[in-house]
Amino acid sequence: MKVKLLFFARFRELFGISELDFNLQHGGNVMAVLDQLAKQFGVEIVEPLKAKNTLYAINLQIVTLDSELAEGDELAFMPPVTGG
Amino acid sequence: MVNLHSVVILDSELTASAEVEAFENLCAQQKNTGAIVFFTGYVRVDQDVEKLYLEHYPGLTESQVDVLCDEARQRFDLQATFVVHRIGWMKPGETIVFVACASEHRQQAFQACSYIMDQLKTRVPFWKKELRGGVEQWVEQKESDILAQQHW
Repeated sequence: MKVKLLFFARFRELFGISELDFNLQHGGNVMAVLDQLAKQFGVEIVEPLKAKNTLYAINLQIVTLDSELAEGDELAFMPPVTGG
Repeated sequence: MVNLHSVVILDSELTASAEVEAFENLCAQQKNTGAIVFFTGYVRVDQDVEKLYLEHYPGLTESQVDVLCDEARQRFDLQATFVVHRIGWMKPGETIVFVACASEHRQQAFQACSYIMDQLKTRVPFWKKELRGGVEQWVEQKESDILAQQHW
């Protein structure tokens, strides 16, 4: 299943990219993407994406780790926010 | 039809006095506005911060602020809300955020303004980066902001 991953702020700097076309091999939820990212990029680099207060969004909707993805979805990884 | 609830993301200077005037004019068209509460947040002038950068997630930022304002309207008796938030590079002393809430009674307006700011701090995709001594560093989320959001 093809999805697009978006990385913001310090996550973008961590991965060195803002977007990634990603083939989620067996489909699944946000956690499945993180597990596959850990296999491809290493556990350490993915750990901050699982940290408390990290936000996730699919197609501009805030979601949780167990939210399922569909073909063509855009999944954003957002570090804890600091606006205002 | 006049839009009584709006959100603006701004990549240029935010002038609170102009926003106050515009909001007051909007509320003057309503017959029963009894109280307006304004909140203005600034880039603090302290320590050795030279500049502050604000990144956001276009599209989600606006919709998340809309969600917070909808929640505020469900919780409090509001006639109008207006949120303006800066993005991009800013200098210490510049205005970073402006919130206006109008109601028939002051307590509703005070609480709504406080609610929107407490929620915005932890639920809207903005990220601050400071430039100190020529080094850029992302700002960490504060535990006090999380507690403030949770107390509602």
